Amino acid sequence: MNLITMNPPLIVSATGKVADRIADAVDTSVLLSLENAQADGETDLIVELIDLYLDESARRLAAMSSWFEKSDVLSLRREAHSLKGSSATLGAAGTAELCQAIEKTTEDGPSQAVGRLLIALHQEAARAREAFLVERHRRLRPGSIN
Amino acid sequence: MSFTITQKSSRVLIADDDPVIRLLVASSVRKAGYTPVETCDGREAYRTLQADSDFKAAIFDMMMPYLEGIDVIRYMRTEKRLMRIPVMMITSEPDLKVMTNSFAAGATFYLPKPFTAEQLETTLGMLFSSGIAAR
Repeated sequence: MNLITMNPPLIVSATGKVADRIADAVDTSVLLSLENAQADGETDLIVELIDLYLDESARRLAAMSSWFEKSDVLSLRREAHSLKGSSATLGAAGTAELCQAIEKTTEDGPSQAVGRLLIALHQEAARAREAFLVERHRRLRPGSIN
Repeated sequence: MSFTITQKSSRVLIADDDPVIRLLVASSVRKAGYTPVETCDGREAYRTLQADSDFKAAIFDMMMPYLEGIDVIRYMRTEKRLMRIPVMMITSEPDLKVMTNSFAAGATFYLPKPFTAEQLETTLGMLFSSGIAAR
């Protein structure tokens, strides 16, 4: 099954504004609450978490597409499961929900529905990525973004 | 929050294939005054435990490649030198059966994802206290 031939679902925010669509992809209050795990004298934990998450999510998304095209739903489900946990912990609730939907839908094997969810996941993850990068930039250069 | 270290070992074994969660847990362990020893999956944790039992506590993800967290706990509970080590299980499964199975295998605490830093800190506090009580 090939993702490129499938119609992506429409994702629109309430206001339709691009900035809103990016900002609502990550609940920054959840992300910033993780500062409480920051150990004294260490580098900025939030920036480290963002960097790791962006690398890891990109790798997992690519793997998920590959597993889908090979109709390997077990491997696809495992990747979705892993991405769900870190996404939810860092406040990317939309990404986590789509991962959960993929986990559930793959129980019935490969299908067009899984492909559509995967496309939606890629789109939502891209929005989350932008939101994480905004927060990363804000922390590294305080005052540069309101 | 800080915890008083009264036991010999200050090392905490962490096994999670997700580097994001591993970093978060390791940072919280360091903040609590302990030294994290990080492993990437259940097999690496198992191999570490075969050679080394000098741990204050262990924290495992449930679903990991090669060996799941619950399998590592079962191994620990059959080894006298590892039996005293309290284990916290982390999982994405909001499932009563998974939780029950974790405790039945020998987990001491169970933390479902997503968790906040406060929830992690509180559970770590209980985990480290349980290790003290067990001796």
